Amino acid sequence: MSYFVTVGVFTAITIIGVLGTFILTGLTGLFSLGQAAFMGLGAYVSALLVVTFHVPFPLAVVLAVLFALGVGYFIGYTTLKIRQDFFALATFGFGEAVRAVMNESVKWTGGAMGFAGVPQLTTPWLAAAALIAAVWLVRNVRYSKFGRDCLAIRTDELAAEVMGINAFDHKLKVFLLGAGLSAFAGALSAFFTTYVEPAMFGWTQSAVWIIMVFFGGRDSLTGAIFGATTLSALPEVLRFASQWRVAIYCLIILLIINFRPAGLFGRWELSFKGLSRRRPPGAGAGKGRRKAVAEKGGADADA
Amino acid sequence: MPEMERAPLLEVKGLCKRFGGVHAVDDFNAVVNRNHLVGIIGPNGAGKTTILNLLSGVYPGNSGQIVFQGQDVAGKRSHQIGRQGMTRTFQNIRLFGDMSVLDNVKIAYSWQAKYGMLQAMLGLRGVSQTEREVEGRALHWLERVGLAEHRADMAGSLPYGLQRRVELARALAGEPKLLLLDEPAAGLNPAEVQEFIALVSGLFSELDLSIILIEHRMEVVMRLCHWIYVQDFGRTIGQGTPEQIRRDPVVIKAYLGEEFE
Amino acid sequence: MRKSLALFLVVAMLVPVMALTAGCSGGSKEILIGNIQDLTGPNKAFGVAMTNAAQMYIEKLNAAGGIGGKQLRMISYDTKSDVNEAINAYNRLIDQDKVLAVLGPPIANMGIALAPISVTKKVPIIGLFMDEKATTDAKTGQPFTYMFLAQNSAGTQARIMASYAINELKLKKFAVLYNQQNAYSVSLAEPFIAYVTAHGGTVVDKETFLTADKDYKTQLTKIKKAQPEAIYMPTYPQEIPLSLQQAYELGIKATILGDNSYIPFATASNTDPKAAEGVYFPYGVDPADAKLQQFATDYKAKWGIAAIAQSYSGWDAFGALADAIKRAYAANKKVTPDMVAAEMNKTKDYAGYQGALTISPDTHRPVGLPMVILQIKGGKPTTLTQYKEPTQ
Repeated sequence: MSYFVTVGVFTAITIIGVLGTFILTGLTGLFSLGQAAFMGLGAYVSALLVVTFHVPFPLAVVLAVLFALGVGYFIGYTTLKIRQDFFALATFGFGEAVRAVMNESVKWTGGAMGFAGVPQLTTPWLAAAALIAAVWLVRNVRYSKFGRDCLAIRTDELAAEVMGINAFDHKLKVFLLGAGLSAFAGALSAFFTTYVEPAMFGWTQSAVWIIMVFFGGRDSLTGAIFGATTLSALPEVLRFASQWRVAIYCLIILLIINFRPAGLFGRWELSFKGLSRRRPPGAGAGKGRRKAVAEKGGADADA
Repeated sequence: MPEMERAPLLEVKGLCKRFGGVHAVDDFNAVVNRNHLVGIIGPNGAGKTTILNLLSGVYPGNSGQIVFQGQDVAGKRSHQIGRQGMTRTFQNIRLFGDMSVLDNVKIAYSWQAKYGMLQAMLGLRGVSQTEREVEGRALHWLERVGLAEHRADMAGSLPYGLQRRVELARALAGEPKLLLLDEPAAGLNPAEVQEFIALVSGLFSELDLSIILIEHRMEVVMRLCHWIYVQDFGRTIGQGTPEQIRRDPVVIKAYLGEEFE
Repeated sequence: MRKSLALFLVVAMLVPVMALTAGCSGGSKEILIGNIQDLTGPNKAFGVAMTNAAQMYIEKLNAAGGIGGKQLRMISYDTKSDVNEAINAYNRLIDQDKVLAVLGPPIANMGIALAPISVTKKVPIIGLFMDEKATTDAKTGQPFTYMFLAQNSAGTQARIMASYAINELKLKKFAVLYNQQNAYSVSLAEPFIAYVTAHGGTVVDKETFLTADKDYKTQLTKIKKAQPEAIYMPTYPQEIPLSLQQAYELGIKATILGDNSYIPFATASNTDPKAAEGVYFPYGVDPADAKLQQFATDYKAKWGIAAIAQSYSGWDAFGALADAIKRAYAANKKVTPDMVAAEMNKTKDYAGYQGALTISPDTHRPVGLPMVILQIKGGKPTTLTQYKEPTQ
């Protein structure tokens, strides 16, 4: 498989993971540092099922995603009730715990040595199809009531609740969607690299996904995809810079976040029916961010 | 006037709320009948907003009953109360500033829209049909408050007076039986206040709706309300029709002052 | 606004494509060798050591006329401790840069991940990835055609230590303490235990810890109770001083056996000199060797940093590769990756700093490559003897 195709497949897998982060962190404002752990669950469970238990590949992927959803339900149910800043800590703890389990259950996972000998079943065509399907699913969610509810909860959870939205229930669904997409990306990645190790699924990976979302624009699906693509390809583009490329990479991100706080795309969406049909007038990318929203927490100002 | 054949829409009995040692609401009792407009007035710190927060489930009370449409909703969560037909606006406007005006109003229909996450993901036909319905209903309310041409604007970028109306449209879109308005005329200029009074009395006559209104502007309360509760330091110090309140010496001493005599 | 954004999009999409295709030149006047190393991240020291040593070798070779009149040039790509990066770098070296062969990293996980890719890309990788899974296909038991190891494998290193302890030090009762999250640690501990139990020794206690742990006293106390004659502690640089110090503080008198990271970490300044006294460990090269000391001096002069184990073995790896290229060129008047791989299999008695390097065509790993057993005496590592993997 040629270099471009390999980079392309890695990028496609990254985008699928980032789509989950887009919904969860970009739209709903929940910072999860455990998303990569779900990717790890997807990777390990599918690889184990195929290599050790000889389950057919498609079934193994489905089972791995279902497994991650089960774990996600438990984690989401227990952590989404707590305050949002603690949620980031709780998911961080969860992610590192998952990694510890991968390291410790040497008999099944190979521990720190990694799990080798996974057959290469993720073809470029499969990766492309998976990417299109994932983008389509997330796009549909984005433009349904769920997409609106995400934004509403992020902006003002109390106001959303008063309008009849069960914020906890909604967050749990979104968390599961993110977990499922991550696990799916993980399964694809295991059967592409043919090797998995716990070090691939640390919290820094989750953080990178969050950076990709903010880089492209937290409110824009186009931006999230663009962010994931650019930042996946960037390290490859910067290869000529040798050991300086990590510094350059960070500098570019810093500049973007500093000078375009709403991300490259703001709320702009690519649309096939007329270029910016979805962009509301007077709200150019990056501008028109919240201006006059009244201060929060004043519900009992009169108490 | 309180005694009617039908059960009241809302009956509040012995509602109490303490913050630390402060009795923000102390033994509040009230009755709101169907198609009535009730006002709550009182000086700052009287506990008026706290009463609305307790009614709409923002936080639970320490004791007391809130019987809404025959059911005790005390202790229920906000979204449950919202779904039962009680919606509200906020003193300091809580719009979803990052969303368009239309989307703000559509939020009111999220819990009613009959499709789940899986159907949404797969973009099944029912989804777009429901979305069209929701859009139609949301637009109806925007037209009613006169904001149809602002539908695509970001809610956060609108002038203050229009934001108030968006919030009202959003609360109305919940198709409530009881609407709670927390100082809806605050920050409006005199012309806007007149428009607001006309809008609320118009809506009130068109819809099967009761309203609880908190307001500092006596003009608004006196012109709109059928019954008024006067709160001071968490306690009800008087109640009655606007005419009775105007003449109540206790109320005048505590709150209204000489000018209303 | 919209136009500028669209323009930006187009430019942003084009730049990567141009940059990606830029490296395609690859003139036939030089021989290109790829180099995949961690030049950033926690394992940077190892990657830099290998890169520096290889660069020195290339300069020496080019000054002497190169190979077949062609100069050698090395293209180095950073992998920042990320396996996926290593895969991308390897693919890029082959597809874009058209390298003849690749110098691989001293990181086991990367070797294991690259091995199956090398089967399809067919460009040899010569590296220091110690784990045997990087050179032997676990499914077939056969070696990976394009993977070559240029130092003793983890298994061999562990067996050398175990055999020396049993046969020379006459020890019988062992305990093992290692980091269960660290591939290096695990890949040494397991063959050590296997060898000891197969050769008349017993392992009375096996204790593990995690990378984040800094306190091993609980484990060491259990080990002390089990009363072993020796404790094998194959651990990573930052863990070595801690484990030695804590064993010493608990009054453990058993002989301590280490691994080839004990230089220089066992004698680090934060260790009580008494804690490291008497420790035995195997090492890839003999620090007392005069030839080695000359190299260390040159290396320091050129790069401004001290040579470490990976500098010497990196030199050997690149040297064995250069020799294979030379032989292939001499025999065919041209050279392809397959020829290099074939010649790598014939590597015999290459005179490196580690000793005479011979690569077995059956395993693609060195055979009979000795290690040096050292003991810390008076705070200094002192060479005791050369020792080879026992053949029985």
